[in-house]
Amino acid sequence: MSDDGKPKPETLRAIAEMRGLGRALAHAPASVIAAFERGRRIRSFPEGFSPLTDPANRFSADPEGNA
Amino acid sequence: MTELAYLTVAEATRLIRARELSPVEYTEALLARIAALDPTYHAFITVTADAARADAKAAETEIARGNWRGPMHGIPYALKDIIDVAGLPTTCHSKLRIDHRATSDAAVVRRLRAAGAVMLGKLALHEFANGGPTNDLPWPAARNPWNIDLHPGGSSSGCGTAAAIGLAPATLGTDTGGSVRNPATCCGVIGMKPTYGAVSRAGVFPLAFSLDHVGPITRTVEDNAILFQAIAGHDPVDPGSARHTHGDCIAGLRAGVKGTRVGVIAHFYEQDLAADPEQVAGIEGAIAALRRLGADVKPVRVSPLERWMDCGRIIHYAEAYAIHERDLQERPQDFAPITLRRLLGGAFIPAAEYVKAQQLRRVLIEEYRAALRDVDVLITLSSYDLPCRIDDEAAITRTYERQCRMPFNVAGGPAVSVPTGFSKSGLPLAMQIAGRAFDEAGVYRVAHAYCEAAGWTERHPAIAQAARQPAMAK
Repeated sequence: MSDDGKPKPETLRAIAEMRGLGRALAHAPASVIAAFERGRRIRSFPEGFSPLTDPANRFSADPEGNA
Repeated sequence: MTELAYLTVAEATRLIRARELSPVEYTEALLARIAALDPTYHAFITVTADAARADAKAAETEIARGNWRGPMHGIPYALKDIIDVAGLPTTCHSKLRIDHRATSDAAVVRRLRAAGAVMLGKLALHEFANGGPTNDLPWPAARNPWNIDLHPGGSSSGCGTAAAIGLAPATLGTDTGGSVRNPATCCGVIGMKPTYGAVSRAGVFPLAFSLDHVGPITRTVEDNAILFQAIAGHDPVDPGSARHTHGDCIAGLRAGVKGTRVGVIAHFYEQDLAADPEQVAGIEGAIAALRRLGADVKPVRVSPLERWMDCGRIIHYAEAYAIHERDLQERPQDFAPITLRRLLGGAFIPAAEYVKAQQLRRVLIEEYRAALRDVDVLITLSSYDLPCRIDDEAAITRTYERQCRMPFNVAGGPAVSVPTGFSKSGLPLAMQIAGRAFDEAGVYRVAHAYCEAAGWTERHPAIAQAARQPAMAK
């Protein structure tokens, strides 16, 4: 990463190519850079929130569970 | 005489049933209006005139024989071109889908066929329901009916435009982060995102599986409720379809709001992110009106807007990228630049962040349920700003962040956008009314009471100079 927290061009190129986006980077480099720089994180969680949930997120094959 | 163009579904139903209005005459009038106005407004991608005439004739014959199927029988409608109709392309307004042909009807189309409705055609949208208005696509972008230089909202842009300018009394859009309610807001009409799972998405091109909804856009609340009732219900083909059903949305529509507990999420637009003063004045006027109608209005607090937006955005981007990954890798040049920028956002979201977003979503859904234990409905703003210029991409991009529609996609409850007046420059203002899961009836009841009292839905846009034609009268 560079001093401003943005990825160096060679780093971004490597990440984009790892994701199979070499053509997109060549076609529209500004779009790929903008997509990378757009917020990729959740900025705040409720107090007490933890990714350790018990029980873990439920999987249900029953469509009713999706309501 | 009532202009056929602005006849409501409810009025047309009554006239058609009484055989005072011919579905053929009604359909022909709207087809003529589309032919005259759509070259200026660009609401339609495909007009299915011959099929509409045939369906209208069939409806007229059947009704004449005494077999009236219900309130959508003989009623013209149009739908976002992301919804399959057998034999027609589902273009998703994209070059990538220009050669597509649907082999079967989407579930909502089947339901409307069974109801005897008359499809007029397929409507413009933002590419894959995710881009923005642009000239880089095979079809032009829909225009705002109140000012054709402005953005009509999206992504169901053609729906909002067609409803507002009187090209179709009933339209169907889709809503993943506000795409039914945004055009309804910008075009001054009614847009409902129903409860997640209330309306089948089978045969609808997905944007983000766990946030996608199909919803009606109409000029009145009653019409919206009629269309919703016609399309809602369990469908085993859609894995997200719920067996739980909504209540009757028509029976209690006129019950009023006396004693109804209305919670206002004002911190979204007063503290979390400042909104345009005219939008705030609009919702404050609506709150005062609801109080005058007898509602018990109180403030409600939930998580800050940013948390809801982040949660929804991470899920939206990640799921949308999963759908489009292959095309983004192999033919990025075939997407419009604005779509490419938005879809690529999902390429760089860490898997852990998507998992945390889904976990956070459960917490926020519980928070939403808790907020609705003490009140019957919630109200808050829809858009933070007035419609911007259609060619101002930076301003359009800002509208995706400056809105509070995404919280209701995250929570899954029903939310409707209703007009709250007009700005000094004559542009529509709006708010949202949201409710408990499957309480569309309660949301519609409050929306109807407010809209009937306020009267904003009776105002229609002037026809743009570029599209002037003789008035169409019954």
